[in-house]
Amino acid sequence: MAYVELIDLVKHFGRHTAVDSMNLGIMEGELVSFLGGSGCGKTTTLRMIAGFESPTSGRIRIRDLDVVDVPPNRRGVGMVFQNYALFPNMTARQNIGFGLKVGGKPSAEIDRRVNEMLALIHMEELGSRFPHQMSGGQQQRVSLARALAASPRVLLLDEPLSALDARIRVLLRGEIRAIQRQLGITTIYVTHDQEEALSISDRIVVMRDGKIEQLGTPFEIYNRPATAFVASFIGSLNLLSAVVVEPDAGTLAVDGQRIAAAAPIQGAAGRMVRLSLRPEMISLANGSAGNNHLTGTLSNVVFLGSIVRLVLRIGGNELFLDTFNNPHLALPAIGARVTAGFPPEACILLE
Amino acid sequence: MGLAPFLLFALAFMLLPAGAILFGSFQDAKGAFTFLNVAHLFRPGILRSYLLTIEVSLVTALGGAVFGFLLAYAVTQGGLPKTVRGFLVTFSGVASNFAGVPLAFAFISTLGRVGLVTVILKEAFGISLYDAGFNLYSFWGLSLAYLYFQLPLMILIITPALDGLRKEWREACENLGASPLQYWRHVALPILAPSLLSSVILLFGNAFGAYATAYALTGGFINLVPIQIGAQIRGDVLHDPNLGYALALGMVVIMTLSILGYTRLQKRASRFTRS
Amino acid sequence: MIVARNCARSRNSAGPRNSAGPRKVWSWLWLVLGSLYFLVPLLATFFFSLRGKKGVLSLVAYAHVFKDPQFLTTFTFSLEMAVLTIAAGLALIIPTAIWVHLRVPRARVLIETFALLPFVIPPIVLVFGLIRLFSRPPFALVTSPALLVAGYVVLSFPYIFRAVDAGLRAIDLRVLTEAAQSLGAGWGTTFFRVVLPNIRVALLSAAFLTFSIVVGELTLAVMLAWPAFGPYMALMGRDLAYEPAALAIVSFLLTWGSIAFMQMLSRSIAGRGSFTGGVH
Repeated sequence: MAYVELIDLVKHFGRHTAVDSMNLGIMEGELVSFLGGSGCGKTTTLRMIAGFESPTSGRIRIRDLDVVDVPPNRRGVGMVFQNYALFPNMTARQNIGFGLKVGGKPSAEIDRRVNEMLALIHMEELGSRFPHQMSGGQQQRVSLARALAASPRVLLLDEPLSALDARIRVLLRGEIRAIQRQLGITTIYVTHDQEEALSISDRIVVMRDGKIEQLGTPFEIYNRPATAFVASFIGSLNLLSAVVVEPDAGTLAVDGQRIAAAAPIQGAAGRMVRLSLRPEMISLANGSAGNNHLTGTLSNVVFLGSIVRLVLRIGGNELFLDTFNNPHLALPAIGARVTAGFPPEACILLE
Repeated sequence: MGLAPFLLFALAFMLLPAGAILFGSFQDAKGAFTFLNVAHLFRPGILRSYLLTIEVSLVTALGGAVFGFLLAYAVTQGGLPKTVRGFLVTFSGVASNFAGVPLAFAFISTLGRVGLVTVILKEAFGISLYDAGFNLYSFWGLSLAYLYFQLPLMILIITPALDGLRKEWREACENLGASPLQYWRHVALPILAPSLLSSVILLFGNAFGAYATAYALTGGFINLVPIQIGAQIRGDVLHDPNLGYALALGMVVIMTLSILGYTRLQKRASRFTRS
Repeated sequence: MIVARNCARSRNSAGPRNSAGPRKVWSWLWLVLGSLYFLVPLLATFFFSLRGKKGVLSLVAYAHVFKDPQFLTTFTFSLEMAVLTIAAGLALIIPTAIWVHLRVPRARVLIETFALLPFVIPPIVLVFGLIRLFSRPPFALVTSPALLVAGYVVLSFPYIFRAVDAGLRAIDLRVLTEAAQSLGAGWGTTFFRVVLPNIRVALLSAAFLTFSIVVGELTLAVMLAWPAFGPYMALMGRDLAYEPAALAIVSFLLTWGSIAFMQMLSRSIAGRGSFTGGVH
């Protein structure tokens, strides 16, 4: 049974449709990411679950109870805002304890709980600091603790790390995931950073124009993208134009060179399709049997640190392949004829 | 230094005149040093004058602050269309300058003995303002007129502070289970408090130093400190300029205290909006 | 568990829920009350001014005002004073503001302290001090209009400075002058062809605000015994009944015109301060 359910959820802002008939079920204890570019409806959906926006139509159920008519201050949902939204006139302790305080809990209990929370976010010594005395990362942790203090049923995070710099982001997302797992709390995480979504989610909802493009585990989303949008949004991707040669055998031709896909192709011979390949699936070919081979001219070598990216020109297409940096390996010179190899399973066909 | 012309100007036309007042208050008619003028400030007549000025300033400061705040809140966070805010701010910019003689005339036309509202109230509703004790040319009438520039001033000052009240704070409060009243009590008012307080102080000072409106409205027949000073300058009363200087000194002291309070509180207010 | 999908009740929402509804009612209430307070005196004054002729609404009071030779002379006088104040004020404050921006940023605190002085030393006290200081030789300026202009510059200085300062900040003066210099421009060229044209809007704002302050000013004018527009209006108020109301309307339209114009202009400058107050 789904813990959080969105049923035919629709939101119109005037004539603009922000969320277009969304249906989703989230299991208890899951961390689900809403991933997409700006304007795709992910934040709007989150805000409807929190109660800050009312759906134009549709239902939202938490633990089988309809919450659409429940005001935001009674939903038992904890929210972490993008720019922390810590109350500037209160210390970290007071911020964290605020939900319990307005809930009328006795101060001994509030103190105990605040101490628990401060320990959870590893900030035991910093409880009496004010927001303007804390770094961005610290403020975000306090914001998380504040949302969790009152033991909400669902945790909502609205791009919590986008205001922080890269290093802290990687650190904090790991911490957030660890805390989420430890508490086993059902969580919805909104982000536009696909690496973030891939690294911490149980499942990802890729959204576009108010609709769900694909729902699946990170592995599924990355390796079996359902649409061209998902394929290009997640990770890096090669897109080549290919012509179908033998549909039943799954043979294609790129720039006249024959390659084989792993499954038969629909449609007639001679059709143009888009062939997508993940750069890490391609290697500088050395005759492994059964591999596809494409030969082209090396046009660029980009050094990215741990990865070296080789860019090939094959007729009218550009193909790049990633290989791990190895200082002892001699790479071909720019302008040389180079052959790239990849298994048939690496072929992802998009229309 | 390129600042020289300005500094000379400030010296000649701001500091030295202030100094002249300062020294004049401690001199007698022959130029000898004396505390007598300052001592005379505590004569019952003068004291009453200060008291009345303080009362008017306090009443219009508080009244202007409360109603100005409500109006500013209404147009910033109260859910009204954006154009209303622009209009109110423009109008406030104008109204805060519409003081002195024209303002006095406006109020005389409205609430004077034969003012339009006075007449309408009498003829349409049978209410006689002046019989009931109201008098435009007294404390309450003057305060009502002062509000006309105090209210807009408050709106102009407090609107930026209200803009600094982030929407997320209210949402975070709601999310954590707080009612609107709890939001105001625990979050909004504490954050706004320094701005509110500093605005009251600024409004107080603004009213305290006002001369033209009071003069034009009452013809100089109201016992306010600025009026007293004006009378001393023109020699309308027992020509005792040194007493006038002492009066002016007293006023400057009060204004200085106001501005010090204002700047200190503004610094505290900016602490909240920074984070 | 699949739940019935077709009982979704359509809710029409405009955004944040909960307390937004009653909040709006209160907001409209205060707006209406506030508008009444501000508009009633204006309307009353207007109608009062139309009462010059018994029983009929007529513009007779306005005619009296405009035909009065004193009106023209005092208004012209105040206009001249305003122009002189604007010229002197800008000439004094623009170089100062530029100097503070480019050379001595630390002096900003000092200047801003001076900007508070006209509040701490209200016009009535200022004029007292000016008279005392400048009544005797060798600085017997009390009878010269220069003193009045100087006084007006003191009164309007905070607003002129803030306007110019905002304008300079908006154009990022430092970067602009460095760019001009790297292209070979001298100080004169930089000032007249780069800086001034780009703060035109700020200057206009300052000019309009100063204009509205000076034209209706009473305290300085009456104490220094000048035939200005403010004292003229006060004098009218003593003897006549309807002409003062007409004058108030004329004055209000002038103030409204200049301030509204100035605010429209200043909206194009980022980060402006608030132009509040005036002299009362």
